[in-house]
Amino acid sequence: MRLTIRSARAAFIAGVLAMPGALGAQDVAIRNATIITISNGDIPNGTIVVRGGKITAVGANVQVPAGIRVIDGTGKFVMPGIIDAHSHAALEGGINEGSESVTPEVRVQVKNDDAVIYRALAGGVTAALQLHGSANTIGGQGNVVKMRWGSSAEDMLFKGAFRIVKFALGENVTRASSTAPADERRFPMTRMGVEFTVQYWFNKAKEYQKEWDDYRAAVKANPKSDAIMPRRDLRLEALSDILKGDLKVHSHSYRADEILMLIRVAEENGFKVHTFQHVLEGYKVADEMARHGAMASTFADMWAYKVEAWDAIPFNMALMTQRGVVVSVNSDSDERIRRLYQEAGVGVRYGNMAVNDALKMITLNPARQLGVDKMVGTLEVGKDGDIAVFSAHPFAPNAMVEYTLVDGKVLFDRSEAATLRKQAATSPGGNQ
Amino acid sequence: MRRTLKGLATLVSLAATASMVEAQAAPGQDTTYLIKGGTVVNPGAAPMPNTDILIRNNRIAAVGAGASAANAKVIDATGKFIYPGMIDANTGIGLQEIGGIGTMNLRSEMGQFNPHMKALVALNVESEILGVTRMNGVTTVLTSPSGGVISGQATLINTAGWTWEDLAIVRTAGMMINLPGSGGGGGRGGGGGGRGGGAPVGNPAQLQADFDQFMTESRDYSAGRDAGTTKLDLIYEAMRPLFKKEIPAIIPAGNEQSIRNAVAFGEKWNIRVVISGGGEAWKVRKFLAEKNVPVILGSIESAPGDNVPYDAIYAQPGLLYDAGVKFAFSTGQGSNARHVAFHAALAVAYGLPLEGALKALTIWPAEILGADKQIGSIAQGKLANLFITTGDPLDLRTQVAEVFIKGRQVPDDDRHHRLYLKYKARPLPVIVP
Amino acid sequence: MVRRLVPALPLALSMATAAAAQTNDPAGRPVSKSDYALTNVRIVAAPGRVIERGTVVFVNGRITAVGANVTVPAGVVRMDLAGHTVYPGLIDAATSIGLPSPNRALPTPADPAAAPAGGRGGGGRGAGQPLGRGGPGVAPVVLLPEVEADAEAADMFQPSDADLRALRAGGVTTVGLVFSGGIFPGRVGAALTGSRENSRLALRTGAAQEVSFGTKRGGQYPGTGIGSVAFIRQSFLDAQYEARVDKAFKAGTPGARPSNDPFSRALIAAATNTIPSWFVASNERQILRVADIATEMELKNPVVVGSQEGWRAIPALKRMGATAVVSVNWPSPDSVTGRVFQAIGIGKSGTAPALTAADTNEVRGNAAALIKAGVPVALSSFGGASGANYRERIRLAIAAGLTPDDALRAATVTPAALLGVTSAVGTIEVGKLANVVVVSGNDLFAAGSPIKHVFVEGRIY
Repeated sequence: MRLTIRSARAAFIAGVLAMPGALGAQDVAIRNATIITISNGDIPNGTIVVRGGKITAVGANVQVPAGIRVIDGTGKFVMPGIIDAHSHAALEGGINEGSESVTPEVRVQVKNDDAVIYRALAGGVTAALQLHGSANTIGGQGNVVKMRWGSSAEDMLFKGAFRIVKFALGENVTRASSTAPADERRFPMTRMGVEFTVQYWFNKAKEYQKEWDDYRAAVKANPKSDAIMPRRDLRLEALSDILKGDLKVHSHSYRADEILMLIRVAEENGFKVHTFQHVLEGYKVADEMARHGAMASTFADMWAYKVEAWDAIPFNMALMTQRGVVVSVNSDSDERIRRLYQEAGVGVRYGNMAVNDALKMITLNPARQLGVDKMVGTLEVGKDGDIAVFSAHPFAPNAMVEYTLVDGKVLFDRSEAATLRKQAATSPGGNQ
Repeated sequence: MRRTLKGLATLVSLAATASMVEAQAAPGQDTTYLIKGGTVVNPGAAPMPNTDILIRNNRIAAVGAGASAANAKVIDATGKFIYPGMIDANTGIGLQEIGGIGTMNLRSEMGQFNPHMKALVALNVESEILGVTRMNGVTTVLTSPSGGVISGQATLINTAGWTWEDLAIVRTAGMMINLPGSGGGGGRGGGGGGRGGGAPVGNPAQLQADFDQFMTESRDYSAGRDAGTTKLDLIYEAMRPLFKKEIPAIIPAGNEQSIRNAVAFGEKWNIRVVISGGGEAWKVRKFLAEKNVPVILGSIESAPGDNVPYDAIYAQPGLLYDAGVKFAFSTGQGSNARHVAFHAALAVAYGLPLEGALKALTIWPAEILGADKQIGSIAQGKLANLFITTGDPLDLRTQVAEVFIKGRQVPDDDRHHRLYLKYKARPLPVIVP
Repeated sequence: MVRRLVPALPLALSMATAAAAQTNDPAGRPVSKSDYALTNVRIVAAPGRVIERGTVVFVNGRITAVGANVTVPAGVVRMDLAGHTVYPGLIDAATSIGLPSPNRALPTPADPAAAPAGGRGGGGRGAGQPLGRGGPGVAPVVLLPEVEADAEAADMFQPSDADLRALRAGGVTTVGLVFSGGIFPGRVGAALTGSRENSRLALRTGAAQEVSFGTKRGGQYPGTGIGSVAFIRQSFLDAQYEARVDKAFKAGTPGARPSNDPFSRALIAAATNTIPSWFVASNERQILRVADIATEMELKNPVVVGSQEGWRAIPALKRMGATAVVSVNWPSPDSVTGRVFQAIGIGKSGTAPALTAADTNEVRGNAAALIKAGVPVALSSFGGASGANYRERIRLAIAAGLTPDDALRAATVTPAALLGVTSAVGTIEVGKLANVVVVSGNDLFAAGSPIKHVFVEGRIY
C-alpha cells in the first residue's frame, strides 16, 4: 500500500509498508546456530538462508550468499516462528457480539497498531489466529494474521489460511454466573439448550441451501426464468459454508460431555469440528476426538478458576497427543502470548512429551489447524522466512528471544529494543 | 478412596461442592530414608556431586559423609539432583479453592483492622491446590488472609501434612497490612469482627485517621504489657509480635511512591517491613538495599503497562539482585504455585543469575519469613523439605522424580495425577467396522 | 423528494417586503429585508473567476447581476465595499449542529412490555431468533433513532440563534446536515444558516443516505462494532432483495411478495444507487471497512465523512471511487494510527519521539494530499465546533499545503454538488441565492481578515 507521506521518518515507514506480499522482504542468513527444523530434526552448527522472504537453504553446510545480512547464531537456537492458535490480541470493535447467541456473520477486526503485536514478536510469535469471543453458541469469524508490525490491517491477514468461525459451549455461553432472573436472560441457559441451538440453526441452514440450490437449478434449466434471486442471509450463508467445509469450526469447550455432544451433533448434521479450543477435559474423550478428526488447542495448565475447569490437568496435552489428536497450545491472553515457548515446555514437564513433539504444539500443529502448514510451521526450503532466534533452547531457563523474523524481515531485534536495563542505566535506583 | 469433608454437611452449598474436593491420600509415612548418589545443590554453594542425605524423624540427619543408617529406605539418586524445596512466598492456598465460587473463597474477614485473624487455623488440608502444588517441588508456601487494612496473620506452611498443626513451619510469619490510600484498605468493610472499620471504605481520610489511632493504641498496649500495666486484649495482643519485631509487616506496594510510603511507615512505628508486589521496586532498588527491606515479588507472568519496556517485569529481579536487594517469588492466588520455578526461569532469561534464582526460591524466603533455621537449604538439622530431579528445576525438560516434605516421601496422588493415570489407562477403542 | 428551493411568499409578507424595498434609511444604512448592491468590491465569483473591481446586486434574496460594469437598479441599498472582497458563502459539508442525537433517550413507555425492541430494524434480527429474548409475547415495534433510515436531517434541523451565529462567524451560509451517531440514522440534507423570511432553513432533503458504524442500545443486535459491520451489510442486501422482489411484484411475476418492511424500503434508494451513501469514518481502518462494504454492495460514488486519516487510506478511497468530506476537526498527531510504530518501533526504543512540525503538517495536510492523489474533497467541521474556528482551520490547512483555490472549491462548489444544491449556492452567479461573505482585504483565508458582512438568502448579518 503506497502512501503519500511527507516526513523523513514517515518515509522510513513507507519503506516498511511497501507493496504487499513483498513487505520489505529481506535477505538474511543466520549462521552456525542449533536449528530446530521441527520436521527434520535439529541441526547443530546449522545455517539458514532466507531470500525474498522465503527459506532457500537450511542445513549444516550451507553457502551464505554474499551481500546479505548475516546474523551470527553461535550458541543460539533457531526455530520456526511461534504460532498462537487462540488469541484476542490486536482486535477492535469488540471481541464478542453477545446480543444474540448465533452470530457467524460477524467477523473480528484487526487493530494493526496495537502494541501487543510487538510484544508478541518479542516472545517469538510470528502468526496468530484472532478469534471471536466465547459467549455465543455460534460466534463470529476470525482472522489468521501474521505479526507484521508496521503494516496495515489488510496486509496483516495471512493469505491462504483457512476461514474460521468460533463456537462455544459451557459456562460462558449459558452465562452461568449471571444472577439476572430467567426472563431477562438469553437462550440458551443450559448445556441442553446449547445442543438444541446448534441443531436448530443447522436445520435452518439446510433450508437456506435448498432455497438457493432450487433457484440455481431453475435458472440453469431456463435462463429466462422469472425466478427471483433469494434473499442473501449472511448468517445462514456462514452456516452453509460450515456445512460445505469452507468455514472451519473452532469450538471453545471444557467438559467431556459437551465435547462429545458437539462431535455427535456435527456428525448428525454433516459437518466436522475442526478444532476444540481449551478442551481442558479433552483427555477424557481423546479417542472420540481422534476418530472424528478434531484437533485440539489448549492452555498448558490453567485451572481452578471456574467449575468447568476443575478437572483440567497439565497432562492433558500429552494424553491427547498419545491418543492421536493433533494438539496445539495457545495463549488466549495478551500476557501469555509473550511466553508460549514456556507453555509448550509444560508438556515435557508433565507427561514427559518428547521435546520435538512439545515444540510442534507451537509450530507445525497450529499451522495445520490454521491451514498454513504449507507456508509456515517448520524450517524447510520453500517455506516463509518466519523465524524465532533464542539465546538458549526454548525450554531452558535462560531462554530469551533475540530476533524474530516475519517473511524474512527482522521485526524484533533485542539489541535495538527498549529494555528495562537500558532504562535503569539512567536511573539511580533511589538511594536519595 | 473418597472421604467427604467432615462437619460441613449442614451447609447445602458446600455439600454440593464437597464432592469436588476429594480426600488426599496419606501425606507419607514417617520413615527413615537414605538418598544415595545424587548431586546436592544448595543456594549460594557449589553443587556437591555424589552426596548422600539421611532423613530421619522429619529432619535431615546427615549430609554427605556420615549419612548412613541400617534400617533406612534407600532412594537411588544416581545421576540426579537434589534441591531444597521451593517456596511460593504469598498465596491463598487452603483458604481458596475454585475462583468462581464464593463459598470456596473465605480469605477476607469483615472489618478493617483484623490482626487477630490467623490463616493457619482455617486451612483446608485436603485442598486440591495444596496437593498439586507439591508435586512440582514446591514444598512450602506462605498463605495469607486478605482484605481490610490489617488483614491478619500469614502463615508459612508445608504443602503436605495431616493437620494444619502438622503443616505449620512458622505459625505467624507476617502481618498483612494494606496501607490506606495505596489502593489497599478495601475488603468488605463494615462493623463486625474487627476493631474500627466504622469509617466507610470510601472515606480515605477517615480511614487513615482510624488506622493511625489503631496503631497508636496497639503500640501503647504493647508497651503497657511489657510494663505489666495493661490487661490482656486479644485484638491488640495480636499486634505485639510486630512491635517486638518478631514478625514483619507484609505490605503491598507497587509504584515507587507506595514503596517509599511503606518503608516510611515501618520507620515511623519502628517495625520491620517486607514489600509485597513491588512492581516498580527497581526504581528504588538502592534505597531498598540500604534499608534492608526485602521484597516478595508479584507474579513474573504479568504484562507490563503500556509505555514501559516490554521486558520490565521479567528483568526486574536481575536488577534487584545486582543492587543487593533480597527478594522472593510469588505466583498469585495459588492455583499455579507449583510453577514458581518457571517464574524464576523468566527472570533468569532476562538477567537474574541462576544462583540468585535458587536463593530467591529457597533460602531468601526462608530468611524473610523467619524460617531459615527450619528450611531453605539442605543442611543437617533442618526439616527434610527437598526434591529430586533429573536436572535444573527451572528447565522445563527436567522431570521431578521425588518430593520429600517434612521427611516424608510424597506420593503421586494429587488431583492432576489421579485423573492423568485414570485416563492414561483407558483401553484403546475397538474399531467396529 | 427535493424541496422547492424558494418557498412562495405569502401575500401579506410580499407586500411588506415591497414596501421595505422602497424605503431607504435616510442615512443610507441597510435595512434588513432590503435588496442590495455591493459596489467597488473585488469579486471572487468562483475558484479562479475573479473580478478585480465590480458590483453584485441582490434582489429578493437572489443574485440578479454580477460584473465589472453593472447597472444598479433603483431602490436597492448601495454599499461601497472598496478594499473588500466578496466570496460565495462557505459550505460546511457536514455538521450535526442543531440535529438531535440518534443516541438520545427515548420516553419510557407506560407499559414495560412495550420497551423499544428495535423491531426488525434491518437484518431481521430482533424477531429472527426463534426463542429470542426470554419474555412473554411480542413487543410492539418502536423505531429506534439509530435505524430510522428515512429520518430527514433537513426536517429535524433546529439550530439555536447562537448556533447560527457561530456558523456565520465562520463565513458559512449553507450546511450539510449529518447526524452524529447511530447506524442508519437518516438522510443527509442541506440547510441555510439564515433566511430572508426567518422561516424554514431547510434547503434540500434526501441528498444521501447516512451510514455509521454505531450500535443499537439496550443490548440489542448489533451491540459491537463488529456486529455493526455485519448489520450494515445485511441491511443493504435486504434492501437490494426488497427492490428485486418489488420489481417482480410490479411486473406481475407470480408469487412475488415484497415484505414492505419500512426499514428495508427506506434503504432501497441507497442500495440501488438512486441516492449516494455517506459513510462516517475517520481513521484508516474505518475507511478500509467502508471500501469493503461499498465495493461488495456495488455502491456508486460513496462519500466518506470525516476522513481525518484519509491520507493513509488513499488506495481504498480510490478503489471505491469515493469523495472525502474531510473534517478539519483534526486528531492529535499522537493518536494517528501507526504513531506507536515509531514509539516501540521496528525494533527501536521505547517512547515515541517528540512530535514535530512534520507530524502536525501531515495531519493538517490531509485534504491537500487527497486532492493531489485525485480524491475529490469537500471540507467540513464534522465532529467538532464550527464557527470562527472553521475558517481558521481551513487557513491552517492551506498553510500545510492546500492551495487557496482548492480550499475554496472544497468549501463551495464541491459540497454544493455533493449535496445536490448547485443550482442554488456555491458560486456568485446570476440566479443563485444571495449567499455571500464579505471580508476586509482580498483573502478570505488570510489570518486576521475580519468578516464584514455575511448575506444569507439576501439578508444581511
